[in-house]
Amino acid sequence: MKTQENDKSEAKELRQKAEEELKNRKSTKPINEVDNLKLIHELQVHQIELEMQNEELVKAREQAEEAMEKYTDLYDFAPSGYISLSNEGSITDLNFSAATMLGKDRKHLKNTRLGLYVSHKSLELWNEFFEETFRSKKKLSCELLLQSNTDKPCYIHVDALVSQNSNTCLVTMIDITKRKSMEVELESSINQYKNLNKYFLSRELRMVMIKEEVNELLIKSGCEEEFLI
Amino acid sequence: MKKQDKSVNEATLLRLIAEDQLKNEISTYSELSELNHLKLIHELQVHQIELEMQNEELLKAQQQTIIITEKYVELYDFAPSGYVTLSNEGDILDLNLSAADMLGKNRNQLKNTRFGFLISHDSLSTFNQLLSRCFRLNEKESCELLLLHKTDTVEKSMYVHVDAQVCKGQNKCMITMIDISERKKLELELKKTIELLREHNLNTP
Repeated sequence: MKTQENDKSEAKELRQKAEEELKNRKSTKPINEVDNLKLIHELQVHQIELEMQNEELVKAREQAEEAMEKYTDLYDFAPSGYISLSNEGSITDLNFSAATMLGKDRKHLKNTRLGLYVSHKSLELWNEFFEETFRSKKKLSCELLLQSNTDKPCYIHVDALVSQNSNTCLVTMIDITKRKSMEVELESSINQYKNLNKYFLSRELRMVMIKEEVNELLIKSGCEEEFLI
Repeated sequence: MKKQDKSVNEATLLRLIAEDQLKNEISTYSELSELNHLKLIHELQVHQIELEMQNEELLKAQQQTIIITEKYVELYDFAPSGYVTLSNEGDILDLNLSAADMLGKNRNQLKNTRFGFLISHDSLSTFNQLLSRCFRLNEKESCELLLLHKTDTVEKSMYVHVDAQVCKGQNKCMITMIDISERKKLELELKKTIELLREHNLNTP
């Protein structure tokens, strides 16, 4: 109902504008009846031409809108995070997955520096990495720890590429927290084994030393060589 | 020059069609009085301008849409990670340049082929599980796959991490992939080291 009313008022406005435009355009008035009929014919033909053009344009616009929807959906709803950065490291564009990873609303994130959301531990790495992407003009990857409001750490894998025709750095990121914790476990089990090895080694060394000490004592107490251990 | 010719042709055609349509409409104008003629002329002139303005608006809107689309097409095509859209049967419907690069073939060659053909035999069941879970649970799912591409002379492989998500309200699923070959190599080395250390410990008295 409301849109119908809207349409009506829009049509009214359009008509008013057209009337005004006509006043500006009017130059020569038709002189006689024959001219009138000719003019009417001309105008009617032109009107139909315009109507047909109008139809074509509506169709073309619909097609263009469909294409736009397809590609904005592909961007917005991609499973991985996608961020565009200016050459100063400010976020110029980002999709929903990226906003989820950074833990804030999309509009609050725009025009802020991505570095703000990187943890202190990773900040130096990020700054160097970012500079390097602009310098090397190659696709580069790194792993970062993000700032997090909760106790849980959030690790991300980052791929970055500077787009050719603009001064923009395109960044995609995926959450690798699960894998990272597995890696930490792996490393700790390696350390465990290493420590165990060290322990065994030192125990053996200790045994050798004890043996020497016992033998010294035995020699001091006059024990003969064949009885030494 | 050619383009101009074409638009002239189109204009003539449009005019012919319009004239034709007009003939079909009942015309009784000659019976109208002169005053009515003038009224009619005014009406037609106003309507003509209305249509011209509408056309202008439509053209503007279309151009804006095209500009936005171009921006997103570029973002899609040149994304640093691979993007692939799959049907619920696992056929490739769409993919970007990074994905084509990872799969080792031309984009056009890859469209409408089955994604399962491009991965190693061992990864196939992982991938099938991912796809069915994704469509069943409607949640984001991840896995690791080994991509394989063979030509007559070389056989290349690449480990990828895959995130998958069903497109809202559509029977399609979008996946993104990143190359994790290097990390995978490190992981395998780590595992080997652990094995070695473990054995060593077992052999110590």
